[in-house]
Amino acid sequence: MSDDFEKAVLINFNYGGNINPQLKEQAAAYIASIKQSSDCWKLCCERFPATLYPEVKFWCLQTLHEVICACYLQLDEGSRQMIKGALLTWLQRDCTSESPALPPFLRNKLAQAIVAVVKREYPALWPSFFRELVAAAGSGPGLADMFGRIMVAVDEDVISLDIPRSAEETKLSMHLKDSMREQCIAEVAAAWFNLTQLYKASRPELAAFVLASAARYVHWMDIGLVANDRFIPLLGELMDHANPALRGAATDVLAEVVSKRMEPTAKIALVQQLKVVDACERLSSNLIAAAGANKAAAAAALAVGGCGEKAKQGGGAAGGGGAGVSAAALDQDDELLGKYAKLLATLASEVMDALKRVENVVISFNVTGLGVDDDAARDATLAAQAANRLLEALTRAALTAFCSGLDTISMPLVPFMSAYVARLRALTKRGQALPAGAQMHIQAVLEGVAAAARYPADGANEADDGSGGPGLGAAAAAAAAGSRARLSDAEMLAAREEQWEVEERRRELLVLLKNAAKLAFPEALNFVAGKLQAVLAAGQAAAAAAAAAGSSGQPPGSGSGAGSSGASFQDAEVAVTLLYELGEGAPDDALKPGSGGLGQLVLLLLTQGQALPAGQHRLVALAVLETCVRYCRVLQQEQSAIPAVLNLFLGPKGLGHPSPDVATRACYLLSRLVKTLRSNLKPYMDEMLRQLQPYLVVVATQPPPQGPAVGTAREASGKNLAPVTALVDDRLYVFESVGLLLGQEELPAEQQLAALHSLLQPLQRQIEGNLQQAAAEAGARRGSGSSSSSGGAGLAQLGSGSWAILQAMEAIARLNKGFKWELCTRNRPQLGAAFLQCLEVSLAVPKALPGSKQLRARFIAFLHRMVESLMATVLPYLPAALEALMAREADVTDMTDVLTLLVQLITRFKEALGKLVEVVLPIAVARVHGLLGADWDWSGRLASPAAMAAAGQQSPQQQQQQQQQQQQVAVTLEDAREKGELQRGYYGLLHCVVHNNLAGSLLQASPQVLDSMLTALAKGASTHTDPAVRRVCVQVLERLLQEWCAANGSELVPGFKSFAVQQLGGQALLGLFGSSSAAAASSNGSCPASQQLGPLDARDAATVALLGEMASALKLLQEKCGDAFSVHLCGQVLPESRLPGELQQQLAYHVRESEAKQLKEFLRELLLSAAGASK
Amino acid sequence: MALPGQALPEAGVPHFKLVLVGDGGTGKTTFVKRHITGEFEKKYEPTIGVEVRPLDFTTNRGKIRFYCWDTAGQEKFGGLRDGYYIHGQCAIIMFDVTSRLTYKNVPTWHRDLCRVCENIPIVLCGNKVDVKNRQVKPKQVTFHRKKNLQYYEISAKSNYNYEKPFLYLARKLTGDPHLQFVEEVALPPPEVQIDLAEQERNERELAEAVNAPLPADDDDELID
Repeated sequence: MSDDFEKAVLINFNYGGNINPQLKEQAAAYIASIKQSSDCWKLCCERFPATLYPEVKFWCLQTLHEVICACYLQLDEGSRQMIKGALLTWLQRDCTSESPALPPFLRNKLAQAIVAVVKREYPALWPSFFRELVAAAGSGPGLADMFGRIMVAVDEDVISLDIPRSAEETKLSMHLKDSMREQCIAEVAAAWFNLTQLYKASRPELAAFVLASAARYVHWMDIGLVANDRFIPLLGELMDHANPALRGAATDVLAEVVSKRMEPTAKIALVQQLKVVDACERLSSNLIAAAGANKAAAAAALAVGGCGEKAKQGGGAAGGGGAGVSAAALDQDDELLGKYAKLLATLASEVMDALKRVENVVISFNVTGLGVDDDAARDATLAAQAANRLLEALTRAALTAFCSGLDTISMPLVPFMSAYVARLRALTKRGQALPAGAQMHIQAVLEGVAAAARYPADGANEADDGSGGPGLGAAAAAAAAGSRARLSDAEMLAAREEQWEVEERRRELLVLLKNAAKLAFPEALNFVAGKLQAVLAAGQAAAAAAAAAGSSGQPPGSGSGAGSSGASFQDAEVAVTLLYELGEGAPDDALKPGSGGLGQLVLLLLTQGQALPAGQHRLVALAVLETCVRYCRVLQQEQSAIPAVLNLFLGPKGLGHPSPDVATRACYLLSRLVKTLRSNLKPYMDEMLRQLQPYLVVVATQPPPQGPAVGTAREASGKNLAPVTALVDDRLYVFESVGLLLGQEELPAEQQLAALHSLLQPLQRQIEGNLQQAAAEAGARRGSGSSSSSGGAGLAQLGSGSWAILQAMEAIARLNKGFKWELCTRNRPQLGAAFLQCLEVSLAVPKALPGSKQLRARFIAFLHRMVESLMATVLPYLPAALEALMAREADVTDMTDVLTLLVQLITRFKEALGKLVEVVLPIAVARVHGLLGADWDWSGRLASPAAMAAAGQQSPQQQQQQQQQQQQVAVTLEDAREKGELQRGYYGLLHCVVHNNLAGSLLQASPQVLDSMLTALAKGASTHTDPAVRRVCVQVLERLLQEWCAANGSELVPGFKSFAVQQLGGQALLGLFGSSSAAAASSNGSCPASQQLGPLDARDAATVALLGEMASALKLLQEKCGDAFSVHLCGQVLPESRLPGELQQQLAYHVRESEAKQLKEFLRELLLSAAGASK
Repeated sequence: MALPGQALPEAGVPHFKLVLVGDGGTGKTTFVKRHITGEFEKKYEPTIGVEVRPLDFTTNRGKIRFYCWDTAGQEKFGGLRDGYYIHGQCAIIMFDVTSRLTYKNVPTWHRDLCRVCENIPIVLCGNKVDVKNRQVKPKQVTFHRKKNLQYYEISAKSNYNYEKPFLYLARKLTGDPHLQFVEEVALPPPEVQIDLAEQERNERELAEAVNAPLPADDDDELID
């Protein structure tokens, strides 16, 4: 029966959904009121033993813990004794029983509460705690278990600095450690030993737990308490224990002992004393056996689980034992193997580190000639010798384990392997002899890398036979279709996931390979050659066997799969990948003919790549293509091998591969190949173009295949982005390849032109033919209300008409990349004309579809490409292009893009663009002003991030309203930000125009347009929040003043001088001090006076640059306008500036008399002092 | 263990209690809400005590349901605190890669969790990797290696790696290392586009860090 209290606690814990919320609230309030009372700890002490519910017990312990933490030391002695007494009673009474009265989480919670008391009472008030604990631990397994839990809690709650601690807690941690060292750690260590010894046979899990708690203390206690002739032999014995948990715990303790920080000679002595090196050699051979068994068991488990359709023949060792192994057990074994490997790695690394340090001591003795202290030198030398012997044995053991081919074992050893190779390289550099066996060791390192880098047997890629989906060609799919049905999406997903994991694991391994190759290139080369030749030979043998079998009526193997072809895809893939990586560690001249075997080896792959077993496998095909391109320079010397490589690329293992991963990558790699070998490929060009033709058609007309429908995360993480999510279709590189081939000047002109025409015409037709449909799609989209302008929309969301247009435009642009501008404009203008025709056709795109962001962007990119290649010949087409781009539908961001384009064009063509600018500029200005609107705040204040905070403050307090408002504000803010960008682009354009000798074109504009421009510039120069923007405006006005006004008083634009005096010499100058009246005016009164701009910050580099510009502008005004300016300055500007009279005079003086540089300095000081004064 | 207004899982659907912990503001609630309500929460509302949500996934071996206990990260809203962990079968510890303090506190969360739930599979998640200015670099994330946890970089805003933690836990809990999710989880479109090139660099850095030796002295470099 439970009473109200128990019920309330239970309701509080219940999230089953069957509790009335009101009742729940009541219960919570009731419990809270209990907690409020000052003696609720008494209730806890009474209720804990009385209740049957673990939740209630938990609550009591939790609350007690809270009380102890909050106010234990403030309680009176009697209360403290009661709490302590209760906890100890529960410890002694409830934790002893055989069938555990308390579940683990309550035992831990009790330990936590006890340790909270210990934290406050040990050693001052409760010096005997650990002794009492040790004594209690001897009275049965239940208390031995609690001993372990309490020791863990002491570490986690007080000692360990892995948990963030305050300064005071850190001090407490030190204090506790010191006290324990002085008073009790020896007894605690003895307890660890005794309890482990006591329970190792009867309760190995308990013994393991006790040892695991000891491992936490090894690194700070006297090492002799563990590294002695009682404890170490016990650990050695336990490492062979039948129970894996106990083996693991013993291994962990030993690893802690080995990694304890100490002097190198002491460390070497310790390792010698541990006598674990022999054990390690034994261990590593055990590891190998375990690895074999584990692999076999994994295969068996797979077969049992029904996941792998074909349980591979598990290397004989499998036996029958594997069948019952559950995945969880495997997991545990894996963890144990990892622990062994970690111990081995720690030992080897520690010894090598110690050796390095004693060697340094020996070296420094020798160098400094400190032979005085013979003993020290001899000790160091002896230690070095001992370390060398240890290292030799450990390296042997580590290498054996490293070659196991099981990740859990080999990966922890990688850092040691890297350090070992680095050591050998350092020895070589110093001219010292390599230790005996080093050659063998290098060989073993290479073996280990190859084994660890291999794709797992029976992994997710096993089922892949290279039929991953619709690739570029249909022919290959037909060939593969005979062997097996296509992979399901889930299988494909798993295969890519495994690929990602293997690639990650390999990175460190391949660095190791590279370093090993740098150390011993011939050995590395031989090794890789051996692997590759073995694979090829196996392939030939299998082919021969298949041929023999074929003659006896069996179907020939498809060349995939593991068993039949002699070499598995894993072997083939890893051999090719090793070859790829070998180049990274090769000497510079390794590829030159006659200077080493790398070139020869590469040639072997290049010529025999077709015959590689499992060559159709997705991963093998990828590796082969990558490697061919990595070394394609070899083909420049060995041109006879070119046809073989081209066959590979253009056939079903390249562009025609059924997997989109391979086909798409092949498109890119082909372009790299062509770039490198361009002229060498000329003899094959006709044939290449013929073979590429079908691929070109597919790429141009068929959207990239969809990836697996599942796993958005997967697609986002791999290096091979699924084609649909990539914004640019990588298959288009195939057009780039063709362009590179065809764009060579050495080709006969007629042949070249004809070929180009035949390529371009279908693409042009594709653009023209889809305009109508694309427009209809856009209309439908508008109708359905979904906007096509969301920036992140991928190509996949486009309608098919729009897609076809985009793709065709991009294909033309890619083709064009291969044609240099000299060729197109000077030497063979017919080629240029062909591209110009494309440009003319594509002009219709922005006209027909003005609202499509993607098409606009693609058209602008297209225009850029044409400008690059056709230069001035595009000029006649630009007005129409720009006009289409500035159509009514163009919004703020569109217009910003157009302004950027204009700037780029002006920068490229300069004065040649004068006529165009005259026509286009007024239109652009009108569009910009129209988009910004009449009430636009030219100070840019609303578009700056600070505006967000200001806007947020104004919103009302009510939460819901506030949220709504904030959303509206967010929309407005984004809108304002975009407009701010447009304003900047506008200034940028005007700046570009006047600084490219095109200021004259401004004069062609109507007075209204000119007036709008100048007003906008003046407002920007005096009020913009960004000093860099002000500077741009000042520069434009300054330049106009320079060009339009002569010193003799004449001016091209009537009234411009007075305008310049007013604005540049007046408002812009005042604007520096934040006292411009234009600031208020610019905001059209919408801005309260309190938000007036303050003075600029003179510590900002952009402000300093602006001041420099202002100084030279003022000097120019002085020069051009003389008296008129002086009068205005002294009569109006300075009085308005609110500067002290003296400073006004000085400023006037500097403007009149000083150099621009001095004036700038003066302005800067003015601002600095103004800032100081305002504080 | 159905909650009010929530359909019971069909008979035979395996379900697990998943405890989600981590400092306040690291995005725990956002993360779980991403799965069901469909609307990414921009506004930050501290969780009070705990909220339990069912998260369903479809695997190649059938449906699986996590009852996700989304606990309060902020002390003052504590409620039963570690009392919520009782009978937890798996857990996610979350930190925010843009805040070092949240990573520094991971060991504390791990300790408190393991005190109540011994030997359960745990995933460590570094959230908000879409934010450009991250404070905790992949190389600095070493805690999971000391404690044998799985680590994933995620971004609740961009859906990046959303399913990874669940898939890992599902594999551990079912004992099937080849388990796959076969249906796309209904996630709202990403709020931000994650910079994939940048993230690839991060992942690479992480992979390189895997085999690097652990920093000798805890995570001192993270202490501000």
